[in-house]
Amino acid sequence: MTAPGQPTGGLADTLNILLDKGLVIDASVKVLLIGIELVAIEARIVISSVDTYIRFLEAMQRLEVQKQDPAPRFSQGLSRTIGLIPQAPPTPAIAVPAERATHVEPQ
Amino acid sequence: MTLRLYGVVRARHPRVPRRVCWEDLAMVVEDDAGGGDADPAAHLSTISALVEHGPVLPVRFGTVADDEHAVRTDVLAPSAERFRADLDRLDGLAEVHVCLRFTGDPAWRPAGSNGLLAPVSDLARDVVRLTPGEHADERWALLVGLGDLPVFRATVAAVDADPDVHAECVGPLPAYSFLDRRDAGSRWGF
Repeated sequence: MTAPGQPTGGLADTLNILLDKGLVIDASVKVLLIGIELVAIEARIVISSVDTYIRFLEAMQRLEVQKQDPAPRFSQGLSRTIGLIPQAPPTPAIAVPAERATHVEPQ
Repeated sequence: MTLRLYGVVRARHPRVPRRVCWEDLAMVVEDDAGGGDADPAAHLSTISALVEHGPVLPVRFGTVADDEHAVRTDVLAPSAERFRADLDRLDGLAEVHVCLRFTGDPAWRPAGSNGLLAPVSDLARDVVRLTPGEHADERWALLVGLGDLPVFRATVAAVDADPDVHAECVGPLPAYSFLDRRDAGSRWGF
């Protein structure tokens, strides 16, 4: 039997056990979910596995959103993965509504 | 000083390095330097070392409190009844993960464990199937009595003796997978 947390268990296995598990303390109290420690883990997650990294990223985004802004800001999600995933190109504006508007414009 | 929270134990737990007590409950804590030094492996190792000496309710990794007063008034006191009930429910039990990897010829490889883990699950009080992760084909969490751990290890070793299956168990762990199953009356069979 492998003892939990041993190096042979691997970081990915450790995170499989840890992430998204355990008692969640009510967010309304003075107990805060930290962000800075998680950033330190981020660097090691990248080399462990993409799957784990993405799940970790989701967890981290939730924390960041809770900590910084009461309103969810989903648009900033992947842009925080610095250097890993290229930022999506800006979506071109759709011109259809404008064309329709010119057609139905009364004389 | 900010405190990093590990889990809720009984105040009389014998192996806790540092605790914040409130009535008969205690939170396992450690000073948080705030320098980004939280290590998930060390965290898991610390809290798992407590399991064999008394029940532990693990707090989600990354939770910190302002001070000891906040732990008592904002964490332990409001949920004391639930913590006591869960500590009683999990007394003498530990979570163990069994990871299976099928190593035989792909053409004959079984689609799943089927009845392979039946002798292992017979030893467990409760069973939950987990997402397997990238190092295993199947991963199960089992709630096992601490006294049954030696037999449990031997049973998993017997499964591992099968040339087509690699079986490994990780534990004892705090009951991460069974915190919310206080109402579950039936076991999940294989």
